[in-house]
Amino acid sequence: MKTISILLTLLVTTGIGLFSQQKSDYETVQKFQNITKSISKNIEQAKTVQECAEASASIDVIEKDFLADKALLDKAIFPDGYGRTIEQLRGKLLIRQRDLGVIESQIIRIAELEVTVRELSDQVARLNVQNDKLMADVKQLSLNIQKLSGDLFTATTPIDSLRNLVVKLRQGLQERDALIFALTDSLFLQYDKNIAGMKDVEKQGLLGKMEKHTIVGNVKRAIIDNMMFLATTQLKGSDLVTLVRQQQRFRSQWTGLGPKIANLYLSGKTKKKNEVQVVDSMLTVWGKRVNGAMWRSLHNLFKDKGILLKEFNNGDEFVANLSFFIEEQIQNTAKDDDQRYKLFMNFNENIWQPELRTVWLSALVELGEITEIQKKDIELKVDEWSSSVTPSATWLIYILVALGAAIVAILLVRFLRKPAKPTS
Amino acid sequence: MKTLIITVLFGVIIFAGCSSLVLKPGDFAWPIESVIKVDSKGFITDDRYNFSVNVRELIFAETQDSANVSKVTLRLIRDTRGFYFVTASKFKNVYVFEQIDGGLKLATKILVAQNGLNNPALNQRAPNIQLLDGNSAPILLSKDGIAEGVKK
Repeated sequence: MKTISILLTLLVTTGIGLFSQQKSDYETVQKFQNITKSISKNIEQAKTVQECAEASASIDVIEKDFLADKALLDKAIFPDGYGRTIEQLRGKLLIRQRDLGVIESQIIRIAELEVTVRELSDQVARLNVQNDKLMADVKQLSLNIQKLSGDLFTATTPIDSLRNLVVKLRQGLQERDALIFALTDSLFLQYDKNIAGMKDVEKQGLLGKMEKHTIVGNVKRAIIDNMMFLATTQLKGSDLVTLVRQQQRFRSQWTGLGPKIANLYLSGKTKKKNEVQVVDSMLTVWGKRVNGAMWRSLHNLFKDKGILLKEFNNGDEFVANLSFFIEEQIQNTAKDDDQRYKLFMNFNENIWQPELRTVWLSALVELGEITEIQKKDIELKVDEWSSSVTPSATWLIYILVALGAAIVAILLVRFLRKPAKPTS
Repeated sequence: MKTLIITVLFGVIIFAGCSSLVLKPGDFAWPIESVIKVDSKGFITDDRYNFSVNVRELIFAETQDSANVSKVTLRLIRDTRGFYFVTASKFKNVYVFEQIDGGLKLATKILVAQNGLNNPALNQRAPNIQLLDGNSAPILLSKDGIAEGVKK
């Protein structure tokens, strides 16, 4: 009986799967006809090479998407069917291209870019959904862990699954950020010229495509998601350095793109003229937050090991406060030598060797927060501190040399005092 | 006897000449359904297959209302044997008609949805006709009734 019920359940569930795939032939045919009509209209109204290329890419897409329904369309669309309908669209496009004096190679190149744009746009949309889900999972899991242990990301907390999720989410966000800019690049590449050199109709076309693929919207969304990621994950140390690096890369890419978009908005009739400024301010907020988190994390590195540095919010303040601290330690001869030595060893073994020298200083130079000279200066100061507290080795060397000399002298005297063997 | 033989032979010759001419096999299947709005006079007109027929009686039979015929959009399809399958949104039945002199005659009335169809569609799945209704299980129909699947 149990087996029968399992079989029945299987049959029903499989059946449901099959039923949901059923579609109306009439709707399929209507959809095909509506799309072909729309492409045909676009071809008639095309005025630029980009519009021709877009139509060409649309024909490729419809040909691919409806290939599975070819038999139905051949019967249902009388007398043209699937093949001739596509063929007619291509013919119509060719005539339009000739009328506009468009060169075929241009069309091919731009159509390829158009296909890339569509693929990238789909990928961005997919990643948006995936990242939203990951973000929700991370939030939920963080909340659960915080309830249990009160702290995140400590070595003792069993948070492997959360770490994995965070890594996945960070990768997802990075990938999506890169795709947005790749998508935008592909859009601009289609026009192959500066915004200033574009005709009004081309500017409108590009603006239309940017709206269609919600470029600025995606940029804004990316910034918001990254800020949310920062707030949710409470990352520390080198993870934060990675986030600062990501923010800087994003900002630099936007610096290249922003003025172009601003130019486009200025030339168009759109009401979104200050969208670029909005993105600029969002980027500034993101930058401040991620930098703030990074400096706090660096300060906590000292604090957690019992070394109290004055707080710092930028590279110069960090260098000044750390240098001041080290100077103080070098010159503080009033303290017990043993205490001074222990403090240095604590700094050296827990902060300097594992984190500050190997990870942070190089990263801060790379991020442009401190200069190479400032880094060298800190290293020299640490060396100086080291020699000021390490017991001097000079007197030991003297003793060793003296001891050596004494041994040599004794051996020599003994050798010289040996009585000569009596000769027979 | 001679007269009888002559009469029989005469009869055979006469009936042989009058026997019906049958053209078989035939395929009358439409590839997709036609979706046609009923006009104010109760007619549906199909441009592709170039026919029109008055459906006022059909709508009255299904809805008991022949006053608001023009609000109905019928979906019809013809199977391989030449039978017309007709239904519409809110209909409980699929009507199967055969062609007669100057009109259509009901062959079968198939009850498919006790509470009426929501968003029906008819697909050609020779030798049957497939009835879809939203996410419900599809039903295969023939002129004799439900060939596969269950009514709702």
